[in-house]
Amino acid sequence: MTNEEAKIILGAYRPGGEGSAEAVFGEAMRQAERDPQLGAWFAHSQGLDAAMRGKLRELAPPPGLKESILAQVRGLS
Amino acid sequence: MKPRRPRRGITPPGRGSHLRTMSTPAFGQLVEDHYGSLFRFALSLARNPADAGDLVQQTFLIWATKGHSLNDGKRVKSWLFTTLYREFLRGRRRTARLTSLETMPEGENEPEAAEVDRVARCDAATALAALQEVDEVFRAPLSLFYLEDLSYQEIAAVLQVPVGTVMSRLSRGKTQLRAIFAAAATVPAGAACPIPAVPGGKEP
Repeated sequence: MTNEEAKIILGAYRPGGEGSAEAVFGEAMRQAERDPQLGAWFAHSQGLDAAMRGKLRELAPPPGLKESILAQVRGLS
Repeated sequence: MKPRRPRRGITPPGRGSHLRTMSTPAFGQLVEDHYGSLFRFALSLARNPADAGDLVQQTFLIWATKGHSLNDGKRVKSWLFTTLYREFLRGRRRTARLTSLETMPEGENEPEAAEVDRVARCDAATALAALQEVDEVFRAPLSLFYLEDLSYQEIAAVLQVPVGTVMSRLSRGKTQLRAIFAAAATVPAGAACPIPAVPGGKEP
């Protein structure tokens, strides 16, 4: 596996993700442990992902959206 | 927000609601459990809060009339995301550019520590605005990846592509996202993240 191939795989890694993580990411992660350059890339990529994930979680639906959904569906019954 | 028919010109489902077989509290819980994540996904696709809200509303409306055919409760979340994405695609025409982007070469941008700081310093609306600048074919998997509601298999099912394609699109989407943040960083100091924020995209 080249480092470019490893980056595509590692770019999809989510900490605490799927149970099949070892099968999908194992080889690429071991390569990142052996290769300092790839390891640094992976660390920065994970940092960027965590920052984006945190920011997107802060986005809240507009007030009243839930009530609007419930009212509209209630009108169907 | 007043109850309203979605503005997207989609035919409302007929009467004969799923609520006949699902109690109102149960439906309320379903909405409570998923409308936030669905809204965030819709916002990344539709680019404005009004259209995003309409997409979410339409998704639950379809659930109310068709969702009863889904017996496996574990698939409900995936069904909702899939329905929302399909409704989004129905609402606009796919362009030839979308498919040609599949062959776009990998970028040269590499993540740097400064980019992590840059994203961390941005507010949520600005991070969303940057995500919305990513081409749609890459933005949809990237949004689902960051929202963490679905597994890779489920993301692949929502987008109707193989898992390998999801990974490839994630990689390209992140390359674009890094380029957007890097371009924003070239402006003078004091405007740490000058990507135009989306109106209403902020937390109230």
